[in-house]
Amino acid sequence: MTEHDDDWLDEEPSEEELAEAAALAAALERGTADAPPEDALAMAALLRHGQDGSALSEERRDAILTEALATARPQRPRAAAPWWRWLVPAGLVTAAAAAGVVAVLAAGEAEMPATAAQLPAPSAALLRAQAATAAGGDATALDAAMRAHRAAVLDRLEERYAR
Amino acid sequence: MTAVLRLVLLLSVLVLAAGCGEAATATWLESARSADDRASREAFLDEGVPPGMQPDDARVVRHDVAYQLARELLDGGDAQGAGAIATEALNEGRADDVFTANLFVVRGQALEALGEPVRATLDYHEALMINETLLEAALAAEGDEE
Repeated sequence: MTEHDDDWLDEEPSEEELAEAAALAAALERGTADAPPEDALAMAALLRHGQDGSALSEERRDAILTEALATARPQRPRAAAPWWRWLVPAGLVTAAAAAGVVAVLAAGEAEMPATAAQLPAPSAALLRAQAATAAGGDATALDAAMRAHRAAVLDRLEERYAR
Repeated sequence: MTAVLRLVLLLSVLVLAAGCGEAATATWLESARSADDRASREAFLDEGVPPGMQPDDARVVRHDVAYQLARELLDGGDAQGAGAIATEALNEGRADDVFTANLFVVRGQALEALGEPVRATLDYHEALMINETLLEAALAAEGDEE
């Protein structure tokens, strides 16, 4: 609450307001008042109506209830989901999985070559170096010859699998 | 509507997964090319083969990286480790090619270093048998070119 609101609460009532309050109190106690102000009578009437005047008569209550029952529609029970309803998503998932497996198998078969690649043949120099190493010689010449052959083999394989 | 959206999403993921297979193969081959030290070679061999790669093509690449790793270990004095790597690779598959022959050679050298001359000789023999076949083909091809 603001400071301004507190000031408003502290204001003293005027003499006119005090007279109206007294007349209202008298009207509520006795039902009449000596020259009561118009707005005080209206307020008293409203308060009395609030105490007992707003109650419905028994006949009126019965009439309202009868009308309400006659016009109310019973709630339609929700139809139960058909038992096969779960088959729709399950079927779609199964179909997707089957299609996927077929696609992967087909792709794999298409990509996997049936036979080994035709690789470059080793040179006679390489094979002589290999024979010399197997006969107890140094492997330096073999390894040097293998470097060139290795590069040619990998080139061929990269070309084959780049498709 | 939600089910249809899920279906579209699932199929999109599958298509992307198929596309990723090709990318994985390219990356795998690049890893093999750039594996030039012990750590990267070991990491490559620990990696699986990408789906869609022909098994014998993959074996060739793995055999070659295993050979390089075994050679590195042997040169570093770890004959036991070199022999183990070569044996593991040979157990994945064998062929009459230069890569399998290299594994027999390096394993023979490891066995020799470990004091197993008889078993080493058997591996050298395996390597030379493959080598002989390949050399005959190479010489024949060179003769045809001339």
